[in-house]
Amino acid sequence: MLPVTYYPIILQKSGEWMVNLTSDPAMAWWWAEKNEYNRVWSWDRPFPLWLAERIRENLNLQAQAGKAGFSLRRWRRVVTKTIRRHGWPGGGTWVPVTGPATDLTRYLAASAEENTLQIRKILPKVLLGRALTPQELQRALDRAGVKVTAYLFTIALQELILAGKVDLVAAVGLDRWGRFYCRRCGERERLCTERLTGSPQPSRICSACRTLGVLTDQTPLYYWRDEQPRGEPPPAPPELVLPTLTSWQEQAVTEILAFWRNPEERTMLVWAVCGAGKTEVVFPVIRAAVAEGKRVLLTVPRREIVRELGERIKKCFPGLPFSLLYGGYKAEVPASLLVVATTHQLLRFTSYFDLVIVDEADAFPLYNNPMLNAALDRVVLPAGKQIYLTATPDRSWQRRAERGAIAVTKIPLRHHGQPLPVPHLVRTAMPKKERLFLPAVVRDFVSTRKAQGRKGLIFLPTVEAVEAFSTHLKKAFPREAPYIHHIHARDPFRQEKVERFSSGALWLLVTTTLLERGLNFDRLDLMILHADQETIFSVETLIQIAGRVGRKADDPGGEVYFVADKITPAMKAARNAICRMNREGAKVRVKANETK
Amino acid sequence: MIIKEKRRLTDINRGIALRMLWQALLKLFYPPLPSCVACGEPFTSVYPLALCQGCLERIPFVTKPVCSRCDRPLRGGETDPCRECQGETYFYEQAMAVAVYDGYMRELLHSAKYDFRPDLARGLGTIFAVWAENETRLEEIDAVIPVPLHPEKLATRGYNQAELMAEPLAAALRRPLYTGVLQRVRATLSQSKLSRRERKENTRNAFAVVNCLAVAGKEVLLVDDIRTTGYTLSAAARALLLAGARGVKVLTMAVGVTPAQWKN
Repeated sequence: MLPVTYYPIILQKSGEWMVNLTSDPAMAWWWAEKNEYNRVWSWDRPFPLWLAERIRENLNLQAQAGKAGFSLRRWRRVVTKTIRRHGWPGGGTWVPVTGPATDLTRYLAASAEENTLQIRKILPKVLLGRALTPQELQRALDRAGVKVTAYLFTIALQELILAGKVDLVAAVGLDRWGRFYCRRCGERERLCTERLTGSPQPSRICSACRTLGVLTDQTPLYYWRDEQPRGEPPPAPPELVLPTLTSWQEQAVTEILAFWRNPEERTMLVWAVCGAGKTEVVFPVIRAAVAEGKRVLLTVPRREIVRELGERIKKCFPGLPFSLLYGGYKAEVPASLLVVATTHQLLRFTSYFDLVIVDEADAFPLYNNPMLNAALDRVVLPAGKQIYLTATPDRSWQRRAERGAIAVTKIPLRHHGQPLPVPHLVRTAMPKKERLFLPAVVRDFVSTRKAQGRKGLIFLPTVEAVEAFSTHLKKAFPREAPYIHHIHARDPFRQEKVERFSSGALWLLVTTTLLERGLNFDRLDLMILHADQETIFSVETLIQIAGRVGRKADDPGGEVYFVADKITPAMKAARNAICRMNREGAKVRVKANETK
Repeated sequence: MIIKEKRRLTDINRGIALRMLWQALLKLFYPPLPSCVACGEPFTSVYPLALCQGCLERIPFVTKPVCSRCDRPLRGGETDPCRECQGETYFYEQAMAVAVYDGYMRELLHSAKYDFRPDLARGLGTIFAVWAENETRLEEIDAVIPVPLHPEKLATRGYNQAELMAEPLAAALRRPLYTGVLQRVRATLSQSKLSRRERKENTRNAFAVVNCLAVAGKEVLLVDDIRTTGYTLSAAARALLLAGARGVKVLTMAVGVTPAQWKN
C-alpha cells in the first residue's frame, strides 16, 4: 500500500514537446531515447498522484494556450504556482535527465522479454472501457492468462502511459473547482482525510465505494485513452434459441427493435407485469446489436439474479462468448460484445456501451441510488441507448412515459395469458413483539397447505420478526415443523433452503423481502404480514411480491393475502395497479384471440 | 435533429445547475450532520466523540471489579490482582484498558486494522480522549508513544492504527506524541496465531529506541489497540526503560479476556 509518487516530466523532440508523469525518470529517459525525443526534463522531486496529475493538466493547458514556444522558466512557474495553490510544501526546479540515474539492465532485460510483449497485446483488450486500479488490472491480466511479475507490469504500463495510450489519474482527484471527488463513484462528501504512511500530507480516502476496494488520492486509475478499436462484427449474427413468444411479447419485440433502429430515441421503458417474460423480449435486440458489432451491457442490481441470467444467456445464445461479472466472480472474455454484470460492477467501467439494458430497474440497490444511476448514465456512449425493464415503474417514470419523453412498450399479460392474481386485503389484529399469537387467517393458511398440496411463502418486514415468527409457528404446528423454515439475507444456507423449497422438501418458508423477485416457484400461495409497514412494503414491493404467484402455465392461479392491522393507501394502490394491468391485459387477450 | 439534441443538453445542464444551487442553499441552512465512523449513520456529535450513542452502547466497556494492575475485569470470585498478573512480571508498572476485546469492540478493532479504515482508528481514539478526561492515573504522564509496526507491515497496511488512536488522546492530555522514537527492529510474526509461550519468544528484542534523549527521565504512556498476554507491550516497555524512561504505563483500547475468566 506504500504510495508511489510521480515526477512530472517534459519530453522534447524537434519543435514539439509533451508533458507526462513517470514514477522513474530513468525509465522515461530510456523510452525517450528509443522514441527519438532528444531532451528530457524532470522535476527534481516527486509528488503524490493527485497533485502530479494537476500539474500535468496545468502544463498542458499552458501548452494549448499557444503562448510563444518552449520556456522552462515559464513551466517552472506553472509548477510552483500549482503546488503552492494546493498547499504542498517545498519548491524545486526542472532538471535535465541526461542518462540513467538508476541501473537499467534489469529494465532492459524485462522490456524485451516475451511476457511484456504479450501484455502489450492483451492490455488494450482488458483495459478498454474500464477504469481499473493496478491491483484490479493485474488480476484481470491473470484471468486473461498472462502471468506477470509486478515489475514487468509496471514497465509495460509505464511505456503505454508515455506513449499516450493509457491515461493515469488519481482515483480520488481534484475537479475543476479544486475539490476532491472519487472518480469511481462520484462521491464528494464522504471522503475521509487521514495521514497515511509515507506521505507528508494527509490523503483522502473514499468511504462510499470501499466495498469495491479502497481508493485513495494516491491510488492510480488507468483508462485506455487511445482510440477505441471496435471489435469486428461477427461474420454471422449469433444463433438465438428462444422459447416461442406470445403474440403480445412479439408486439413488444417489434417495438423494441424499432426503438433500436430509430436514431432519435434514447431511452425506453419496457413495462411488463410480473411473469410476462420481459427478459426474453430483449434477447432479439441484443442479437441485432451484436450482429452490428455494437457493445451491449445487460445489468441487474442483484447478484442472485445475475447468476441466473448468465445461465439463461448461455442457453439462449449458444455460440456467443460473453463476460459475466459480479462481486466475487469474474468470467471475462476480453473484448466480448456482450457483458452481463451487476450494477455495482459498472463503477469499474467508463463510457463504453452502445446499448445498456437494465433488468429489474426498480429493485434495491439501484432504485434511488444516485451513485449507481450515475454509473448507468456514464457507461453509455454519447450516441448509445438505454432500455429499462420493470414491472413497477415509479411515478417519475410513469410521468416521463406519459409526457412522451421516453419510449414505452407495455406487456400487460403473462406468458400463459391468465390475469394476475388479485391480492385479498385482510384487516386483523396482528401479533406484536411482546405478544406473539397467530391470527386466524395465518392459522388457516398454514393448516390448509398440506391438504391443498400447495407451497406457502410468508413475508415479514424484518429479520428479527422472521426469526421470532418462525419459531412461534413451529411451536404452534409441531407436526408440520420439519417442513417449515425461515430465510433472510444474513442466512448462510439461504441458497440451499431456496432449493429445498422449490423442490418441495419444505413447503412453508418465512422470509423477508429477500425473495421479492427473480425466483419462480410452482403451486405457490403467499401472505404478507404487517403489510402496512410502508417503509419496507412500498407499492412497488407489494406488486412485486404478489407477482410471485401463478407464474407457471399449468398453475396460473394462486392466492395472495396482504394482512395488516390497518389497510393502508399503499396496499390499495398495489391492488388497483394489479387490477388496472389485468384490464389492459384483457383487452390484449381479446385482440389476440380475434387475430387467431 | 441536431438542434433538438442541443436543446436537450442545455435543458439537462440547467436542471443540474438548479439542483446544485438548491442543494447548496439547503446545506447552508441545514448543515449535514456528521456521520458515525462505526455505523455510518448521521448523529449529533458530543465533541470530540466520533461515534454515535447507539454504537457506544454496544461497546462492552470495562466494568468494575477490575484487576488493579491490568484493568482486566475480575470474574467468578477471582482475587485482585488477577491470575495473569500474579503469574507474570511485566516491565510496565500499570496497564489500563477502556473496553473488553469482545463482541462489537472486536468487530471494530478488526475493521480498523484489516479493512483499511484509518478513519475508524482515529474515531476509536476519540473514545480514549473522553475516557482520559477523568482518569487520575494519567496525570503524571510526560509523553505518549504508540506501539510501532514494522516498516514492512506498515507499508502493506498503509497506516499504524495505534498511532491514529493515540493522536486524539495526546491532544486531550496535552502531551507530546512521539511517533519515531520507538521502533520495531525485528519483523515479528503475528501474535494472534501463536501460543502463550511462543508469543513471549516472538516479541523478545523486537523493539529499540532511536532517540534516547526524547524519553530519558520521562514517564511514558504506551498506546496500542489490543492487549492479550501483554508481552508485546512489555517488550516495548523494556526498550523504553533501557533508554532511560522513568516509568512506563500502558493504555489499550481493548483487553483480551481469556474464556476461563468469562465463564461463570
